[in-house]
Amino acid sequence: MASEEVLQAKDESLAHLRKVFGDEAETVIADARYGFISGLLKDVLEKPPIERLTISDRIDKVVLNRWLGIPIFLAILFGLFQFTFVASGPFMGWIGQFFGWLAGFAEGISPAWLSSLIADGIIGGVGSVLVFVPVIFLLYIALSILEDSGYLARAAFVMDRLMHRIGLHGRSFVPLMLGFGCNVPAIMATRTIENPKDRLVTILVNPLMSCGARLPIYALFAAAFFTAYQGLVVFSMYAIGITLAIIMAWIFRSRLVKGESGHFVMELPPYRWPTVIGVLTHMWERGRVFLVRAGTIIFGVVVFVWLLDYFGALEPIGSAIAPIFSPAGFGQPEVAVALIFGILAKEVVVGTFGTLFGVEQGILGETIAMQLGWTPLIAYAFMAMCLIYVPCMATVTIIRRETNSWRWTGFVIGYTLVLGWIVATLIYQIGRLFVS
Amino acid sequence: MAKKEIIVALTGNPNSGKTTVFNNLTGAKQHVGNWPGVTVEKKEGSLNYGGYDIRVVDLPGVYSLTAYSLDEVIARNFVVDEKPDVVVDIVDASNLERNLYLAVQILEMGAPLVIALNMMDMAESRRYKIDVNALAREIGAPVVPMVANRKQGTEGLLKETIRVAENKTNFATARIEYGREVEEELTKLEKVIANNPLSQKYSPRWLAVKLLEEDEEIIKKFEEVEVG
Amino acid sequence: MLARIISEFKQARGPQDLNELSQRLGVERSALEGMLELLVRQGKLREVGPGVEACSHCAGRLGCASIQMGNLIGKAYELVG
Repeated sequence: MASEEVLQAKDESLAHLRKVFGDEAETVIADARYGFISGLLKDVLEKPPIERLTISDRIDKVVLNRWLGIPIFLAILFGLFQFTFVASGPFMGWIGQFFGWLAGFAEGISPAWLSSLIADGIIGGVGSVLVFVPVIFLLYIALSILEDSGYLARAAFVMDRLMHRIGLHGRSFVPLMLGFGCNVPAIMATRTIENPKDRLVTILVNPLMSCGARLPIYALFAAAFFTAYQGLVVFSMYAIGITLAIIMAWIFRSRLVKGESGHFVMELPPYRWPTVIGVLTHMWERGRVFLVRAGTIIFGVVVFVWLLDYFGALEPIGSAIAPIFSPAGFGQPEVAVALIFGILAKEVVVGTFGTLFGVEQGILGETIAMQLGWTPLIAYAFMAMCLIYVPCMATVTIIRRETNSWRWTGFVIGYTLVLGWIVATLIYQIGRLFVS
Repeated sequence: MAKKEIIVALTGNPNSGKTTVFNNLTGAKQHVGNWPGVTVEKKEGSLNYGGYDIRVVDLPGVYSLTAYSLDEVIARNFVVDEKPDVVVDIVDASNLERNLYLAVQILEMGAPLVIALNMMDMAESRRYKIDVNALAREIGAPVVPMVANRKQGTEGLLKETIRVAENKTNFATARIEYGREVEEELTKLEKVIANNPLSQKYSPRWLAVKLLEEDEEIIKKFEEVEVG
Repeated sequence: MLARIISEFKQARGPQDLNELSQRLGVERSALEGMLELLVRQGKLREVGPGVEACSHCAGRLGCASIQMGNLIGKAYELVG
């Protein structure tokens, strides 16, 4: 070939330069260009002594501050829940009354079993979940505002800094934050984490991030037992979830072999004013899922529960399992059943209560309080249990797929079950010492 | 005898205001097509000024001239193959450090360069002070301050463009030095390249630099050379 | 400068944001972006961007919509290897 001489000389030069610089010639050449420009600009360009900070930068100075960053994030999260519960109150009342009316209507239907199926099974089961639509949608509106404004990216950055100190060096907080919507896409999102160990740990702790399906549970009991402090109580659930996720991540990370860690540099998207359309669109995208689930999975499971109850198969199951939960304060058969079926979909915990107590929606919480003799402490322990115990079926499936290992999947199911039981029991037992 | 037609290539970073400058220059006399063989848009326009027919070719907006992207290859090939009379690089004055990277690469090609220092208003709002004369001197090319979206600077740009086309500027274009070790290898390579037919078409030093950068397109060109 | 950027990555004690890095290196932010992209093309850095695979999961194929990572985060760069 005519150019053989040239190409060979090139290879020799490249090899030589590689040895001299320990780097590719291309990099050295690019550097030289930048060096030229830099030298040139020193003579030619004068920037003002203090480059005027943009508003965006000023906000970031505060929000990304090493000490203020996380407290600000928690405060905003708290504000989120306060807003959600205060604003959703009236709506929930209306919806509750509507379902109550509907159930009363259904009671007049002819074969008794059909009336029970419709009133208790369907309306009781699905209605008890649908009551929380305002809460869900308002929460998603607030989340969308945070997201579209650009703040959420800062929150992720601040939390990632924390995760880094624990040993998770990849971008692990974003997949965790997605878990606030649903853990399934959140776990899929861990694919962006390059380091397999970091990725595995992020998957393992993901279920501790409270998904949208658990919100009805918190909302139900927070409203019934802590009325004035609903927002605070629900916020505390999320905060406990995040804290546990961090602690477990730290434990897992230090027990697994340390892999190569990646340090990353992140570009924060500019702040901008969220648009009404943007926010509503995002709210709908997420909220829609909730509605569809209510109409499909929850509907199906709740009817199945009703069937079991109708044929008396529920009692034995419930009674057999219930004692396990006595140390945690909620060792009642109905509760055991709710927890079991909650494995299929977390909302079903509420739906099961609704079916079993088949009662006017507005006061399901109070009914539970009376019939099961629950105190606020027990309710709180129960909420913690729901927060932690066993991911839902869909999540388990995705964990199995993404980790490609039955061992890890089993591990997640096991540790969350045990951890949930421990935490709930601790809350109840220790709480009992303080509460009369 | 004065040339009747001048071909001017417009380059610049995306978002440097290149399109605005193009529109200011050519107004309604524009014509859009495709670069041969690809689906990248090619814009051309024309105008009369100073007794010349000026044909303006809008090259794709690029950050550099490597072989890594189609846009860059198109822009680069036009400059070294078609050899326009003038290459005007639209530079965002409020982002000099990034924008000048392209200008430097154009200088390396030995193309006749005019820098259109656009968005002077942005630079001013950031209280930047730019010594335009010093910049022109050190880069070795005329620098024309402009605020294209207020239609300011177009005449100055045209004047300098014609001066460069007529070879009437007094600037010695800057030469980028890459450091002693790299320069030594470049000298070695240039000697070998001098024997290669490609050195008739392109500057040996530029070819040598591209080879050290392992530029795919240039390597391919070398591989495709046939002996006379 | 490019080598300095790589060493910043190696020595980093936690994620950094682009603004912070550009201030520390004394380089204009857009120029820094150009350099980072150059390093990506050279294979020394990797872009960790938005763009998660579509989910085809979810009991009932509900087409979960929580994947708005494009809004959530901007681009990030990571050291390769």
